[in-house]
Amino acid sequence: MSIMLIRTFLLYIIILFSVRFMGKRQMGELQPSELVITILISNIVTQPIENENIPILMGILPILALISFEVIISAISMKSGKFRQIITGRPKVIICNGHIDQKTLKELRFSAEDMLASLRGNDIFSLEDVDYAIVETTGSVSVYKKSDSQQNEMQTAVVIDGKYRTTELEFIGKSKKWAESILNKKNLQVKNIYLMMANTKGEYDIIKKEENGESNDKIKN
Amino acid sequence: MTRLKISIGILIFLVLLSTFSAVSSKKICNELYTQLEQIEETAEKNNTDEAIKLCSTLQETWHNKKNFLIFTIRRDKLLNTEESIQKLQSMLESDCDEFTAEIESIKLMLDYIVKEEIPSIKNIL
Repeated sequence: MSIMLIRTFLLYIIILFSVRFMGKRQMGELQPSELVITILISNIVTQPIENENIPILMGILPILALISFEVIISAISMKSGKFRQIITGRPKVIICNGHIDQKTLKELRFSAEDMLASLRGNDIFSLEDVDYAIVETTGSVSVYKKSDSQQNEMQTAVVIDGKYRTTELEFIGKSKKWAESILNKKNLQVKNIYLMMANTKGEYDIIKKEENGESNDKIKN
Repeated sequence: MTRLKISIGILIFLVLLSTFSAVSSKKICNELYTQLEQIEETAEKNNTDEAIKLCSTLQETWHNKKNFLIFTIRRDKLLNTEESIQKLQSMLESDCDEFTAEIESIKLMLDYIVKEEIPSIKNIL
């Protein structure tokens, strides 16, 4: 009994530091890879707690391996958009300009009830109030209400971390050439851009990458 | 970036540790295997006293090496092997017929311990 208690305590400390090491991302909504890691860790850790025949290292080593994989995969995902897409997928628009995209809902295996429940979770009780609804890679639904659209047109990220996002440019009815022309006008190179947000009206906000720890102001049109 | 470096470091360490564990387990089991064969050979030559001494040496070797194996091998497997090794001396002393069978059984257990550590397709699947 005492051995079980000591093992539980040791493994608890290991898990605590492991989750802390993976970072704050784990605390919020989970990406698919993060969910997998969380489930695996919780299953692996019970084995040496319940079964004293299993050496405790057989619980600790897989956990260390999993958290290392997760950090490495996160780092690669940050650098490579394609890799990130493979691991986490892409956000999908299910309501566009108030119109429900049923094909996308079917692809996501999202029923109408699921969609309405998600809208209610966003304090929306009428489809009339919705301009855009997006299913994020975590499975949560983000909503842009029609009342909000009178204040600020919804923006989408067209450049992230020095790379053009063609799908998002098409979404707002713009092209890569348009984005290039904007950057050229401002004497900017895409590789130096941290984030460029734009809307269908052609309004944009540009944030350059920080150099030497200096923060950059937004560049607006 | 620091976390990334630490993660890569942890992974490399784990790979080295598992390699070291596999190599060490094999070395230990080979040593025990050799001693078992010596015991078997000596017993077949009817040199019982010498065989009994070798059994004591085997038990001592097992006690020393077990302290390392316990970190990587399931305890019940080690316990089964230990039980069989402990039986050998008394089997020799009482001239038991199952002595040779017990030796073969221990050899099989040691063989199994080594094979389980190898990252083969069979073990992975």
